[in-house]
Amino acid sequence: MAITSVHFLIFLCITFCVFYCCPVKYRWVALLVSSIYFYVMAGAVSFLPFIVLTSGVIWICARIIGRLYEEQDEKLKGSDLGRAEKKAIKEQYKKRAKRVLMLALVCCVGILCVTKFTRYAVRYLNLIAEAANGSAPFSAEWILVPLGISYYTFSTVGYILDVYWKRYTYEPEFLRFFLYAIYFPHIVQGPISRYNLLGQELKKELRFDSRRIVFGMELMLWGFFKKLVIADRLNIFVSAVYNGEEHAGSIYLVAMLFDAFQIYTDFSGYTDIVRGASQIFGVELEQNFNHPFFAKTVPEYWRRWHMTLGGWFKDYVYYPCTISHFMKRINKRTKKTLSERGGRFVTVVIPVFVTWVLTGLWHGTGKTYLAWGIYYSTLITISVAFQPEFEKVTKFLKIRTDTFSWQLFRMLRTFCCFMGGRLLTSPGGLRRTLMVIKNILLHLQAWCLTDGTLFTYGLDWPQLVLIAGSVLLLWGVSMLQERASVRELLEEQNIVFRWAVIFAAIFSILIFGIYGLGYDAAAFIYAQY
Amino acid sequence: MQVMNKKKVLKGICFVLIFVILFFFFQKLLQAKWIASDSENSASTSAWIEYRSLEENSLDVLFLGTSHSYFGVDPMYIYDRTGITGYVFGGPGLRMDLTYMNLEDALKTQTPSIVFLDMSSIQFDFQQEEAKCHKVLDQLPMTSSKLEYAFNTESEEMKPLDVLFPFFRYHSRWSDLGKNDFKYVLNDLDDTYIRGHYITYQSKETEFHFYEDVDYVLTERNLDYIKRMKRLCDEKGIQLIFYKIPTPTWYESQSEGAKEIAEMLDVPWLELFYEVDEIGLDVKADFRDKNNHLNQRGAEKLSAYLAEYIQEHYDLEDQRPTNKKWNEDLIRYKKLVELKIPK
Repeated sequence: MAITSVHFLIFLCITFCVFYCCPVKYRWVALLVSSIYFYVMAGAVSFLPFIVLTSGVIWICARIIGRLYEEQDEKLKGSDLGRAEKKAIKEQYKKRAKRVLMLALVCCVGILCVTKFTRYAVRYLNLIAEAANGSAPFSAEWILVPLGISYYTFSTVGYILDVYWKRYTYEPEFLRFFLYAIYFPHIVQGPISRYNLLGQELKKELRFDSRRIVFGMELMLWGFFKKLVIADRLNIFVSAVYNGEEHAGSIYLVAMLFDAFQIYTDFSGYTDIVRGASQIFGVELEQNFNHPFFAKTVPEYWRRWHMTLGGWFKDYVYYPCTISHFMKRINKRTKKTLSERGGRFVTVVIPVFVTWVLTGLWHGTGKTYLAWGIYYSTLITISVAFQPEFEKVTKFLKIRTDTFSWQLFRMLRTFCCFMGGRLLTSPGGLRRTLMVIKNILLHLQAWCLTDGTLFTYGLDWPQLVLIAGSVLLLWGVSMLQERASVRELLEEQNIVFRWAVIFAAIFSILIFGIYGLGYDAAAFIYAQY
Repeated sequence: MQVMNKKKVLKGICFVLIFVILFFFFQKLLQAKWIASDSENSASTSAWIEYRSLEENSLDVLFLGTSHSYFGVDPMYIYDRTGITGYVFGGPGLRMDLTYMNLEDALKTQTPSIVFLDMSSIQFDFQQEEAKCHKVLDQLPMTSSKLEYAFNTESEEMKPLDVLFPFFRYHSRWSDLGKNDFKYVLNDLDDTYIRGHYITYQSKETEFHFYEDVDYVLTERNLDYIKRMKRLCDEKGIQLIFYKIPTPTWYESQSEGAKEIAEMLDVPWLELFYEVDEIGLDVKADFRDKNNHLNQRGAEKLSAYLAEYIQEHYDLEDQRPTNKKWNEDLIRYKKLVELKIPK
C-alpha cells in the first residue's frame, strides 16, 4: 500500500471513521490496529515478527534498566551511606544497566546489520569464492529486509539510550510502546521520532478538532503536489539519463539539477503527507525539513535536511563520541604533540568522520555510500576547521557579507555541494559517477540544450514548463513558510480565495500528477533505507 | 454551538458539490475524444453526439455490432430508399458485453421497432484494446452494467477506477488539449448526419469462403449478455434480429452456433454469408480490405437488401414525406458521399 495510492486514501478514511467513533480513551488502540494493518499491507506479514522482536527486546531491556534505576534510587534514598558508598552503588547499577543496554543494542542493531549488510557481504564472499573455485556458493535470497527497519530501529534505540541516560523514564505498557514503533505515518520513511515527543503525543487525549484536521489535509495536499507533480515528473528525466547509455555533459548537468529537486520534493513531499495524515488524528510528528536549499553552509544544510536523522546522529553518535574518554585522551595527546588548534582539529575530525561514515552506511551499503560519508565529513570538517582562514580571505577580497548577492552565492555554493553529494550515489556506482564527471568536463555539448535533444528524455516542453512553474511555486511557498505559517495565512483569507486555493491544489494534483496507466509512480526514494 | 455545527456541515456539503462539478467538468475536458471528420465518425465520440442529437423516439431500426456493422450498413441509404430511420451503433471488435451496454444506453432515448444484432463477435472472449473499450465506455453514463463491467474486467490495463472515471486514465492529456476538447465541454460540436456509418471507397479484392474451422466455444459471458439483450428488447416490445454481415472472416461452426442461440431464444436469424450472390456483392470491388469490411459500394448493396427485408417483414411507416430533419440531413449526406467517390 503505497502512500500515494488510492488504497492508502481509503485506508485513511476508514481509519479516520473508526478512530473518531471510538471513545477518546481507546483511540490509541484504533491507531495501533490500523498501524499493524498498514504495516502488513505496505510490507508483508513476514516483516511483522522483526518489528515485534525489536520493540519487544528494547521495551523489556528499557524496563529492566528503568527498574534498576528505581532500585538504585530506593537504596540511595533515606540511607545514611557515605559519598564513596553511594558512588559505588551508582557504579554497580550503572554497570548492570550498561550490560542490559549492550544486550539490547547488540540484538537490535545486529538484526539491522544482518538484514542490511548480508547481501553486500555475500556478494563479496561469492566474488572471492568465484576467483578461487570458479563458483559462487553463497546465497542471500533468504534475507528479508523488513519495511522501515532503519527507521524503527533508530527510533527504539534512541528510546533505550535516553532511558539509560536518564533523560526520561521507561514506558510501562508494551502496547503503547509498540504503537510508538509501528505508528503508520512514520514507519515507512520516518521521521525518526523521539519517544519523549511522539510517545507523549500518542498518550494525550486525541480529540476531534476540525481546524487541525483541515490543516492536516492541507499539508497532505502540499505533500502530494510535491511528490506527484514535481518529484515523479523529474524522475522520468533523471531515470532516463542515469539508467541509459552515455549522454552529453550538458544533459548530465540538467539531470544533476533535476535530481536534487527530485529527492527534495520526493522526501519532503512524503514527510508532508505523513505529517498531515498524523495531524488528522491529532498527533504531531516532528519536522524533517526546513527549506534546506536556503542553507548557506553545508553544516546548516544538514540541520535543515532530514532533521530527525541528523538530530539522531548528533545526539546518539556525535556527542557521545566527542565526550568519550577515548576522545578526551586523544585531545590531550594531540594538544601536547601538535598545538591547541591541532588538538581541536583532531577532536572535530574524528567524531565528524565517524558520524558521517555511519550516516552514509545508514543510507546504503557499498563503496558509493562510504564515499558519500567521506565526502560530507570532509566538507563539514573543512567548513568548521578552516573558518578563520575563510573569514580572512573574505576580508582580503573586501567582500561585503551583508549583501543579498553574497547570501545568494552562499546558498548556491551549498546547493552545488549537495548536488556533488548526489552525484556520488545517483548515477548508480562510482564508475558511472566518474563517467558523468568526465562527460561534463570533456563533452559538454551545450547545444543539446537547444537542439531538441533535451526533449528526448521523456519530458516535452509543456512538461518542462510545468516543472519550472512548480519549482517557482515551491520556492514562493518556501519563502512564505520561512516567515509565517502558510496554512494560518490561508485560514485568515476569505472563503472564496481559500477554497479557490484548495481546489486549485486538488485539481493540480489530479491533472498534473504522475500516476495511473502509463506511469509507474516512482517509489519514495527514502523508503529503501 | 449547534448553529456552528450546522454551518460546518453546510460548508462541507458545498465543498463536496463544487468538487463534484469541477471533477466532471475536467473529466469531460480531459477524456479521450475521437472527434473525427464527418465521414469517419463511426464508433467515435461523434457517433454518440449525433445519436443524442436525434429527436426522441424517432428511430425505426438500430444496428448493433462490431466494425462490420458500421462499414456494412448505411442507414441514410436505407432511409433514401424506404423512409425507414435507422442508426448504426458499432465499435471495433466490440464484445457482447459492451454491445449490451450500448443497447441499454441507446434505448433510453429511442424505442426502435427492430434491433439488428451482428453476431460477428459471438466468440470474442478477449478483452479489446483499452482505447477501443474507452471509446464506448466513456460515453456511457454510470449504470449498474458499467459498475459490473468495471469490477469484472479481465484486462490488466483496465482498472475499475479508470473505467468508472476516465479522468484518472486521461488526466495526462492536459498537454494535448485542442479546440475540440473545449467545444465538446461546451456541447458546441458540429452535428453530423451519417448515422454511425463509415463511408469509404477503398477497395481490395478478397476471397469469399469460410475460414478453416476452429473449435467453437460460446463463453458464458457472451451468452449471458446476448440473453440480456433479448430480455431488454422483449421488455420494450422491440423485435430483436440476429444477423451476420457477409464478410469472409467467419467460421462455419460459429454460424451454426449463432443459429442455435437464435433458435434457443426464438429470435430470427439472418445468415447473410450465404446470400452474397443474392445481395449482389462483388468480391473484386465491394470490400474495403482483404477478408474483412465492406466498402461504400458493398454497404449500399447490403443496405438495399436489408431495406427490402425490413419492408417485406415489418410494417414501418415511410417518413420521407414528413421528416424534415432527416430529409435535410439526407441532402447533406448525399453531397458528402459524392465527394467521397474516387474521381
